[in-house]
Amino acid sequence: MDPRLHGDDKKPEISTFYDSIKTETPQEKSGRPGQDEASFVGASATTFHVTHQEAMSVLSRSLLTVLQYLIPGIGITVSVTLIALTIGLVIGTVMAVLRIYGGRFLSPVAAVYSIVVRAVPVVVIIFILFFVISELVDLSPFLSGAIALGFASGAYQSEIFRGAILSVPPGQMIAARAIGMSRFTAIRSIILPQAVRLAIPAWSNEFTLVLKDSTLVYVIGVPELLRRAQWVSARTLEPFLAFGTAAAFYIVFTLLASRLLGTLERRYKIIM
Amino acid sequence: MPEKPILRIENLRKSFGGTEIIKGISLEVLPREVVVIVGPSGTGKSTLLQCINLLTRPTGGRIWLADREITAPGVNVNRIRQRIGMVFQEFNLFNHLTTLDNVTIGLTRVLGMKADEARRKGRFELDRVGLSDHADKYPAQLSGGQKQRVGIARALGMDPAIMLFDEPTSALDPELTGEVLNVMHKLAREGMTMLVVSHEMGFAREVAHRIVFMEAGFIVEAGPPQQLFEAPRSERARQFLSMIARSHNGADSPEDQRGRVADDATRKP
Ligand SMILES: Nc1ncnc2c1ncn2[C@@H]1O[C@H](COP(=O)(O)OP(=O)(O)O)[C@@H](O)[C@H]1O
Ligand SMILES: [Mg+2]
Repeated sequence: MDPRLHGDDKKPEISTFYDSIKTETPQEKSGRPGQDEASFVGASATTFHVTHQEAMSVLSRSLLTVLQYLIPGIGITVSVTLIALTIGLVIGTVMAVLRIYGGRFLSPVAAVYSIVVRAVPVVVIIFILFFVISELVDLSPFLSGAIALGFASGAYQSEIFRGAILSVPPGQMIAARAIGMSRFTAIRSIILPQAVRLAIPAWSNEFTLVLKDSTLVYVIGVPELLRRAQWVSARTLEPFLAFGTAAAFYIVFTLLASRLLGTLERRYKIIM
Repeated sequence: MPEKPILRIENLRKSFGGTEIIKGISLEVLPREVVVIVGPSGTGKSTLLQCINLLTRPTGGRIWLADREITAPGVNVNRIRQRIGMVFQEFNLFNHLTTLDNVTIGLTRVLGMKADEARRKGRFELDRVGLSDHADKYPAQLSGGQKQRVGIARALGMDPAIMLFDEPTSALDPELTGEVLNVMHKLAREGMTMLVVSHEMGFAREVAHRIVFMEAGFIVEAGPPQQLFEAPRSERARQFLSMIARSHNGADSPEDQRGRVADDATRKP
């Protein structure tokens, strides 16, 4: 057996482990996966051959490592998701309104946007935007990825809001126009507030989809949760711990979001 | 009356696709006048009202609101509609707004009134229709009669020159029509100019200055209620009005009587 596994010998190993994480991180951010993980496999593999007691302590240390590694990723995943959802909300609302009220010229534009964007895999959109945008402006992979996801989500959200707007009874627009409201004001103050309420259940679903799609920004080197789970899994050789913790986070975040949206839904329930 | 009409319609026509629905209607409504339009369903009564506030564009003819020709090209339709109140058969209250906000939203978003001033005006209008206690309720929490009274308050809030009512009590249970008709009666007494599509004969008899009988896109006959109900000149008006009168009476009296007789019979020892 490797002598380093016994007693005090282990401490230096852990400390070098952390040191390496620190020194590795900037390299990782440059988005070159693979090579760094390999260098750790040998060292970490040895942690499997230990007594029960030691195994527990190693496991808890591993958990600590996993958490330490994943937590920054949670921030990135949450930010990417929220930015994408917000961008998608703006695009989706505008596109839905244009689709329904845009007339002969703008309505087809909105339809094409929705059809094309939904037909293309999200990863492809991420790549296209990353390479196209980075040609034009200096944008971080993080922002570029979030925008790409928002752009994709906008197409799905436009369908959600289109359905919601169409299920607002037509009498609402007629009554709004009858008191002299302009079309724009009627859409903004009468139709959209009702459509948004009607859209909450479908929108909750979109929330979970965008959260899960946020893993895809790893293809352009954004160190979000899943990416970090991969690294730390390779390091600790505890894939279940690493990915399980990541999965637990996705579940918790989804549950929190559905609760919040469920509350909103109940508060703004309107019986038509 | 030498007074100038508030509303003047001249040879109005409206087609949908190739079908002509309004086939040349001319009508004048004087200030403070209450005109009730009756006629079979599908005759174009709703279409006529929608043409008047330009919710649909007439295909021919001209309409004046006071001195202003509202069918002239380049007229700001939003400005015109502010001055024409509309009450719908299906209420069409804004579902996401409280009763009070249903009234104030037009004041703030259309007339640009300050929020507190709009609330004061809104409460005044709700009081006018007897709903000041329900200001904070949502439409879904109101009865049909209350909803329609909010619909009236919403239209009144804009201080319209004329109010159009499209079968305001047709969607209501019979026991709820009274409260709406009472409000309309009160408005008439206050001097509101009203053009009402309704088959409420009691209301027409009591409140209307003039009855207009419409059929198949034409005005067949018009005159004071007395004349139209007692001695209509056209055969069609006579038939239609007697049918309406019969269906309104027939609904309760004979059935009720039979019920009572049966009840008495069973109670005999
Ligand atoms: N937007 C429309 N498009 C096509 N036909 C319409 C439209 N609105 C009304 N009509 C037709 O016009 C006729 C008159 O309708 P309406 O004015 O509602 O009659 P009323 O109110 O007297 O019952 C009906 O045959 C109806 O089908
Ligand atoms: Mg009608």
